[in-house]
Amino acid sequence: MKKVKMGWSGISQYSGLVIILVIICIIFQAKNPLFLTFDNVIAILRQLSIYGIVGIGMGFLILNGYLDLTVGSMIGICGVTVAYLMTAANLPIWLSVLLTLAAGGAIGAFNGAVITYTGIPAFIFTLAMTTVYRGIIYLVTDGKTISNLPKAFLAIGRNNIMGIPIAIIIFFATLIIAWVILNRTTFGRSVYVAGGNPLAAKYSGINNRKITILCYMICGVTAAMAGTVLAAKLSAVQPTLGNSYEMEAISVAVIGGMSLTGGVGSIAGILLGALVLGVIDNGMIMIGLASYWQMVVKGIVIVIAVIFDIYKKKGALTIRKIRRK
Amino acid sequence: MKKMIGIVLTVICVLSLAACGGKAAESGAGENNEAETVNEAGGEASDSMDETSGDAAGEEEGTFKVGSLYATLSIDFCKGMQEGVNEAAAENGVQIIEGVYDIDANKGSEIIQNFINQKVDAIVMQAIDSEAFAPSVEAAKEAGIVVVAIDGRVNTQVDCWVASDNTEGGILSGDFIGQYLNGEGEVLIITSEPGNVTMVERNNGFHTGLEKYPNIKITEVMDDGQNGVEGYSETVENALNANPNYDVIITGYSDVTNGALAAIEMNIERFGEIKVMGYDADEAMLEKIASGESPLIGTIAQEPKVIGRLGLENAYKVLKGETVEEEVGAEVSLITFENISEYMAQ
Repeated sequence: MKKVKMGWSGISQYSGLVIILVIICIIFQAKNPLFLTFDNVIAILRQLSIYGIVGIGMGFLILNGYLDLTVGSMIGICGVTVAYLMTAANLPIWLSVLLTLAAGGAIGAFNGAVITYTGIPAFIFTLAMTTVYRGIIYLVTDGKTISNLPKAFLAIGRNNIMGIPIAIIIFFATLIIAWVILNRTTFGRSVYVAGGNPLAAKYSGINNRKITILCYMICGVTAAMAGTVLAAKLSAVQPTLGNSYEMEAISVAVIGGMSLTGGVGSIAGILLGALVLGVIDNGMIMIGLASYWQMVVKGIVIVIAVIFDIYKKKGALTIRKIRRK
Repeated sequence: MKKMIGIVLTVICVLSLAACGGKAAESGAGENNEAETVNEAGGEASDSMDETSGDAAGEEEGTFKVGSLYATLSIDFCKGMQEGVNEAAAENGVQIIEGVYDIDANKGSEIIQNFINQKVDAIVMQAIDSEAFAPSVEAAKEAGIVVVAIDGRVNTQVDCWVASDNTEGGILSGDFIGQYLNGEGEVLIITSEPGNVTMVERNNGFHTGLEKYPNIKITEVMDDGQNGVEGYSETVENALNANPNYDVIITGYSDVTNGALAAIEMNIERFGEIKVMGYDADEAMLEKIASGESPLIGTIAQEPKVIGRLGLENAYKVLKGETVEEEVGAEVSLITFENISEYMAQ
């Protein structure tokens, strides 16, 4: 079997994205010397860690050839869950967080099970469930904000360990765990194979259904993590929590070079995708770009980055083919 | 085995749906036993139509059917209006059919079309875009339906428009900050949701209020509001990183206020000196102002419940053939550390 190149070792394949990232950083830094200060870099990383975390879960699904539009609503549900467990149910913080992660995994597994057992297209099912889950949030909270979260809990979103915000540490820990799962376990390899060629996967004895349900579970758990960190960061849970984060998560994965048809992409790409989004969002405000132009520029930069990346990869691919010949 | 799992899944789905349905009915009954929620065009709505045997019969019995439409129900302000509308409806024996359009004007217009098809007698609606709602409101007027706009203005003839004076609220806020800074300093205004009339009017008010203080430097940063409080907190954090010299951040509604507060609280050692001027008044905000230790130094309080109540009452008056004023204003008030105890006492 052809060995699939992935992970950090394949970072050279992202040289296109890295170059673009360096160029925009230089431009921002030239316009505002405060851009590359420790405080601002930390702010960028803390902001992108939220959609980076859900981007990782979404990445598993996209690699497997699926996607989940419910993550935004799931962030909301899990934010509400963790808040209720701590306030109304008065459970200890660690238990509330654990139960919330389990709830996220359970909702994810439910999504995956319905999709794989009924054959309903993932796009349609998860799109429909988005409103179901959001509706449940409104029913449970009666549309009200939950505040008065315990002080110690807020540390997850606000405190630092050795100068680094806990949110960033969680993001990088998740990146490493995801890398290990994808590259060092049979399950991880199956995600790639089943995503790239489901039929071949089936004949080589992979249980595609099980793999997909597990991917949905992982996505659910990451959404629960993001919901928990967000709740701690904002010190309150609004019923709109996590709104439209599914698009951020998909953007992160796709900008990072994942193919929506499955089988192609890596964890390094997720980090780069998140960095591109975070740097652009922060940098445009740093250089004081007029508000309406920010939207235009953001879209254009993303398109340029991805086209450049595709172009670079195509170049690399042809060279490899020639070599093989 | 496969079949078994299929059956189990189906049962789970049905049960969970049933559970949701039960809850919905329950919460509806709690607030107002006549309220009915319409989320999507069609569906439930047409069912409720069948129950009443047409317009004339309804009017003879003296029960009017009124469609109420809100941008969202996730903000305390909108919930307040909903409460006011439903209370006034219960008192006057008006049947309410409710719609929520999730801050999507297009969806809102579809719900109005739906109201027209159901032959409601009146519509009490919150518009977030004065232009986008005009065509559907005109269609409703042509169908002989009484239309009362609450909160946001609609750029076409309506029977009545009830709103807090947003420009006045903006001016109160700007002027207070001018005084607070003794006419010297730097102010950051977060402009949210461009195109949203209410926000534009408040924003203009901020500038008018600050006009008297030429030595205050004003910077504006926009956020389209897509990511709610979290988005606003990021925008504010980025803006403060770009220029840490701001003295006060002026905000235009509760999500922006809470986002700005979160951004400062996250970086308390760096931005602890920067103050926030709020808009709207939820309980958490009031507590913060009262403590005197929070970055939040004041806010503009509206009376959403009064707005909702006035909206329905005016619609009811028109239905009974009485004349009403075209524009009805609801008061706004400035709340600061100095006067908060009076406000809480009310």
